[in-house]
Amino acid sequence: MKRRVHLLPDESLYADVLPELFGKSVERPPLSQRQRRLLVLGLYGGFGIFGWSGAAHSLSLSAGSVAGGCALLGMLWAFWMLATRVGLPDPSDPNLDERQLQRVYAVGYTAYGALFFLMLGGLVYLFFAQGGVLTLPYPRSGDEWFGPLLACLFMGMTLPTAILAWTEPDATDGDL
Amino acid sequence: MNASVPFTAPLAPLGQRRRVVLLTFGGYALVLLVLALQSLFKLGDWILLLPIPLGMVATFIGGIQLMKPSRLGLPEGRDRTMDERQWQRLSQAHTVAYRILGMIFLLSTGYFYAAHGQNLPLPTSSFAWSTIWLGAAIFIPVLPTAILAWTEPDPAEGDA
Repeated sequence: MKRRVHLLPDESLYADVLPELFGKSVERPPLSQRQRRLLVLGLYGGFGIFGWSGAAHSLSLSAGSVAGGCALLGMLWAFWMLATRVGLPDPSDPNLDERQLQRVYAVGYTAYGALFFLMLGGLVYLFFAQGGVLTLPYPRSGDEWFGPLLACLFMGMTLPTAILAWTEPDATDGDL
Repeated sequence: MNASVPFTAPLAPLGQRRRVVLLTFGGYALVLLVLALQSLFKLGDWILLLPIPLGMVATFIGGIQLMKPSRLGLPEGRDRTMDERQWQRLSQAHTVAYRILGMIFLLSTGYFYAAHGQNLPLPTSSFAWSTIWLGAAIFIPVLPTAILAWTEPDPAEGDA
């Protein structure tokens, strides 16, 4: 039978740092898979809206700016939650056993494939938008590129953690 | 650690694999360097005549070999016949590639924003942009294979 490997939340990057930062011990129960998936959906929904808002600005859609601002706030919150409550272990961490290391690498494998297809999708979108084949918003000036680029940066930083959060099963009673 | 995979072709010697990687990325580096020099010193298009085709041909020749890694004796992707160590080596290469790509993206974004305000070289012509994108389109899919090709040691005598 395939052994389940649970990385959450003991190996969270900031699990040991946060209590020290706030000067008190904080008990945080692990997030369930459902909660983690909601967090990922919130984060990537935010990325999408924020990235789109920059492009929408190019079409003078004021709603784009408002949506972009709200999305940025939501995105930052989800980013913080994902980093503090999930985290992705560093492969160089000597405390990881072989199965955990394999899990971290497998996340990297999936993340690279996902990143490749996302970049390809972005390029195809720009090709159609700039070519005027379809009426799609796209950033034209340096300022308008700011939103999409920031969204891409955030996404690049969080994609492996998001994949881990999405795929890691809930810990069973015996694991806790 | 030796996690070479017995695929259709035997694992190519390390020297040969590294030459392929150098050819691919060296060619692309040459293209970027010439474009940067042209932009920095406002040189004419004549400077592009030889190095750009040369660099792109080198990138294509190397890139084609890396896009078909089984020719070098490297895995094409996840395979059911892989054991745990082999799968770990493959996924490790992808993890490293992800970090490298992320770092390049971060640095290049920072550079483009900084360069707008300073007198730093930036691609201006559509030719320059097309060349950069074409190179990136080769660079990104082959990066994990390149890392694996560069780092995988030659099989020991007993493994061969």
